Amino acid sequence: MYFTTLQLGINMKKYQLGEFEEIVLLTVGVLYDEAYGVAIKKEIVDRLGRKVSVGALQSALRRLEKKGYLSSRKGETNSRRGGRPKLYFQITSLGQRALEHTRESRNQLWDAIPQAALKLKPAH
Amino acid sequence: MKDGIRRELGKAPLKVFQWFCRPEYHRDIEGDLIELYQDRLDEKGPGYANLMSWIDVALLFRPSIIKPISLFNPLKGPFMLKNNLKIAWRQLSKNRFVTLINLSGLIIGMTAALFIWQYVHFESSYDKFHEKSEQIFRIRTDRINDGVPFMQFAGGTAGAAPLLKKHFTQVDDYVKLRGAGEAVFSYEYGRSVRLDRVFFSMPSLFDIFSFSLVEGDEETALSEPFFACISQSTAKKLFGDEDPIGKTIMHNNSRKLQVTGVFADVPANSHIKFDILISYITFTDVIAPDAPTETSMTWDGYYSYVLLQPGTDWQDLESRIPAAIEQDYDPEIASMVALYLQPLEDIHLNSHYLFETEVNGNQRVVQFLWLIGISVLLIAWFNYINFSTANSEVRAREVGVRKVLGGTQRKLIYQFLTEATLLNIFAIAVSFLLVWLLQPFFERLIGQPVSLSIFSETNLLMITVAVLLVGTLLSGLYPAFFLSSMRPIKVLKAGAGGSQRPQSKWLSKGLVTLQFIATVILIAGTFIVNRQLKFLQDTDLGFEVDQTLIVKGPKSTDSTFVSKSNIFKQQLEQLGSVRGVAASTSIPGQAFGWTAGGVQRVGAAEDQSQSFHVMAADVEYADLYDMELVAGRHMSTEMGSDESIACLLNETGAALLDFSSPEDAVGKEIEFWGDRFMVVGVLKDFYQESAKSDIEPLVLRARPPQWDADYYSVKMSTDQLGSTLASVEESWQKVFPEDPFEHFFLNDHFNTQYESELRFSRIFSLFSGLAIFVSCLGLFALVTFTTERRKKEIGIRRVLGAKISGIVRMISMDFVRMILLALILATPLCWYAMNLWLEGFANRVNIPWWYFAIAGSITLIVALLPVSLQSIRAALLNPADTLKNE
Repeated sequence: MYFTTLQLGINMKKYQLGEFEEIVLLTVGVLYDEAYGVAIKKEIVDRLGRKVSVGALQSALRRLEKKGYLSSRKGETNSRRGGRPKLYFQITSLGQRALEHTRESRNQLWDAIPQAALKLKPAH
Repeated sequence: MKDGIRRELGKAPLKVFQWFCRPEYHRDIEGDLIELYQDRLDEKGPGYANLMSWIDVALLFRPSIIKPISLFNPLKGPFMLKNNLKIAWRQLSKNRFVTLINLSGLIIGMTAALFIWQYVHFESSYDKFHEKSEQIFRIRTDRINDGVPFMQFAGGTAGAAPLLKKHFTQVDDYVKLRGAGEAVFSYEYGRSVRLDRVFFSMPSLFDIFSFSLVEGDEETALSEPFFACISQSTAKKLFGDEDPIGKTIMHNNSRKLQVTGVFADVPANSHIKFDILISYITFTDVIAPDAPTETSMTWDGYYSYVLLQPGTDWQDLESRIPAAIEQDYDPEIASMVALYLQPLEDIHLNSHYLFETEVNGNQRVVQFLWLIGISVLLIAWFNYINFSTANSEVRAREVGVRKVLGGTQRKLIYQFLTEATLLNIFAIAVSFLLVWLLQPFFERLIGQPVSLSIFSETNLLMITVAVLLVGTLLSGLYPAFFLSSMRPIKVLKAGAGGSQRPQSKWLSKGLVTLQFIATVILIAGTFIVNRQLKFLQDTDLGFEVDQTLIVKGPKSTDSTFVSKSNIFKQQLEQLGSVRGVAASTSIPGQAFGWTAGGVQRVGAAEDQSQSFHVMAADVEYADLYDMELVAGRHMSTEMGSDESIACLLNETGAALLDFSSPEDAVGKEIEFWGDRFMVVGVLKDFYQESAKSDIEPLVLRARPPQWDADYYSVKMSTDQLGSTLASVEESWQKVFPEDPFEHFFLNDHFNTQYESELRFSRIFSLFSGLAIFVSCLGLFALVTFTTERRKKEIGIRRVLGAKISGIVRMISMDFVRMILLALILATPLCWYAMNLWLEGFANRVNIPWWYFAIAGSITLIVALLPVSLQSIRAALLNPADTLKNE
């Protein structure tokens, strides 16, 4: 019984995407062919000025992969990596739809805000 | 990247990461970590880079990265447990002979050790169940004569505990108990029990000790005269399912007691055990009115316990007792008594004074057994070490090949340790099973119940298992290091012989010598224990105990007792098969019961009085037991006055009263307790209880007829004991219908008097036998290996003309040398240890030097038997067979 409700809950949210996941997904898109761990990390730091730990990034990547928003392929290595291969990520079409869905929902919300509400914002 | 040296990320963080990471992720994430490290290294240097790597690894420890629990598999990983187990199993089942010898040695050793461990644990657990056991002390008394203690009692004097309470603020509370003697307790008709664990006790017993009432009020249960508390099992016997509280029971058919409480049966590991407690006030106010039971320093036999405040320096308090006595008592009394404190927990194993509440254990015996248990176990482990190293020829090639194929030493060590552990764990499991199965047998052997505490007490179980496992590890470590350190090139090229290192030979010789030392000590020890036992059994006690029936006297005595007692005696004497009957206060094998101070020759100065044991008996007694006289005559019914004034002394007693010779004493008068007695004869010294204790001064006085008869000794003149017994019982029923007929044959009683020594000797022999067997097993296997290794050498020697006898001698000489060395080392050790044990006996044997020679010879024979068998077998092999495989 418990499981049924839980599953329902998940299904109801069609595209589940956290804020950090969204950023990671977008960055992977930005980097296109060059999206592997260290590069994604650097891109986020450079563009958003936001600190990202390897752990947070990797767990987000793996989660996204599991949800089917990302795919990965093994790439080449170099001497700076001690012989370990790079793992490149790519946005899948499902991932793309998820991003679009998120963007749309945001836009809807933006559009719904009355002009007055934004103007009344106290100025500093 | 200064100086062209390329720094790299250390292995440690990656190892940690690998350990927890999902295997499918770790390659590329590692790559990221390494790359980041390099970036940071270039940016800010190694310190920062390293730190950040650790932080990264720590932050990677999150659910989506960590591998599922099922992948944390101990069977894989660096220990390769699964593989090792498989190989260990193959090895063990391939070398059946070695495995079998190793296993049986380990199982025997562990089982013996577990039994002994359990026994030692039980013996040292005495009285520890009392919550305040560390604050409780027993007061015991020395009677002093001319500054020399001549009698040492386990109990205190009547006034001892109150004195301490009065003088020392550290004494919080005290309790006194007094033995009430064997008695019959009855409830309704036909429901009676005869009990000898009966005490008068103060109510404070329940405050001081952790004995407690299951039913009844601890405050009041022993506060009034004729109140009694009974044990649960006594309640069951007397009342069945009825509620005992408030019921009245009869004490010896003469005194009514009201049951006010029921206590749980006293645990087996309590030094004082009781079935019935009668309120102390019954004794002081009613049974002995006006007696100075709270102040007397001359009245012995009060088991007195004080509760000291926590942290009290009891030895300091003990040293201030004499001053307290002097303050309250006359100098004369003070000079005759000394009081000591005994920590409660020490009583069972260390206290052996007069009138202990029960026969106590022996610290020495416990220590001895402990050592034997350890020895057996060590011998088994030594065997393991010896086999594994001696067996190295077989394993050398395996190790070589493994190393060539990339096996590291560490992996090999794990592998050999796995083997040792597998073997040991199997042995441990079997030993526990055996302990469980053989428990009843062991209890019979030691003659007392020992709880299966290794199964019931988690602590003990944990410690036991831990000790066994540590032993496993230690005994497995050396072979593991030794075997795994062999160099592949050497063992693969030179074959087996190249692997043997000189120091391993020394080690194995050392261990074998140690085993021989233990063997020699145990054999010689067994001899000495048995010799002492035989000495005790063969010592002429000084009286005849055969064909003697002892009937316990009636407990319900009243005014008709004198005539009834006489009728009973007369009826027995009329039986044709009875040679004589005598009533007495004590019988051979039993303590004399009474002691008297102030025994002196009539007319002698007051300060020349002495303390004696006193026993009262019918005038026929000494003659009946065929006690030998050294002077004078026996007491006799023909001399009318004997019954009131005659007495006999023993030689020791006559000498103590300063008679120049036994003859000198005859006809002289002595006095004590306000009466005068005529010494009619002097008895040759005899051992009243057993030859274990010294002979003490004795006055044997004629028994006034109105005194209780504790025992009737009935001497039979025929061997038809059965029919005589029936007639005796018939008379008893007629004369004393209220009392149960209780009897035993005195020689049976005497057969049990060396029970504890017999038991010790049996345990000693059994475990020594096991130890010897286990070391023989080891020796046998060792010789088999040695001859196997030297097969080719023997073959060549034979070809060159060596005789079989020469070859046998060559192989045996090594062992003979080791045994001789062991003998030399073992002799003083054993001599010292056995003297410690013998010190416990007043009469003891000396240890003859040739016992060690015999023990050495036996060891030699036992050891050379397998040695020569194996070497003869090797020598008889056809050299053509042994030499052809090259």
